[in-house]
Amino acid sequence: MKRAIVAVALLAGYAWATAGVKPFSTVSYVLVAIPSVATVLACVALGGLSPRRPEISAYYLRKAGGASLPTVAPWIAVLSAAVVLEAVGLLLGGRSASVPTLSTTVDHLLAVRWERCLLCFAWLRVGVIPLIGLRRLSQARDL
Amino acid sequence: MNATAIWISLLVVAALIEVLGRLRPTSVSTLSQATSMMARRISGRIVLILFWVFVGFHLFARYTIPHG
Repeated sequence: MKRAIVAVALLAGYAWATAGVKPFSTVSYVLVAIPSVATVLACVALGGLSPRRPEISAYYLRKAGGASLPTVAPWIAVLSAAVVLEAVGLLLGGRSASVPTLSTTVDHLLAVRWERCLLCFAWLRVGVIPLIGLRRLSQARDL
Repeated sequence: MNATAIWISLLVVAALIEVLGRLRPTSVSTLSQATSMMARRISGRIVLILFWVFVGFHLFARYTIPHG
């Protein structure tokens, strides 16, 4: 529990720092690159990208809970609609007021620092959660 | 109709699918189950990681604050 609170505080602090940096600056690239590289390295270290770890595939198969093409079809439909809308927006120049791309729409959410911080925290959390699962799997394997 | 409304509609539809997935797990998968299905293969995991990294750079290093 204590560990979780410390981890959340660290992520929130990092998100706040990242949200306060000017976009397109070297620091902004570095601040995003650090968790990106760390996540990839952690994933490799935990065997997440190793073909010799069938238990990891089995772990995701369990987590998928019997998902099949028909049950994920609604997600595929939403994703397809998003891709089509994004493509139309890009064909219209990417800055069209009538058909904005997703990034143009999201830019409105990024105008305030605390909103950027919230989104950045969510992004970091999405990156960390699979690593926790892989770590637990790795610990169970070592026992 | 402004396409921003379409993006918001897509978000609402996604939320409804998630709720449906929790209420009727045998007929609709949740987002977590759908991504886990994708992560069964290494290629799927690589795609998910690359997408996550892309989102990070796109949103937090390359955003533009709109004027007006």
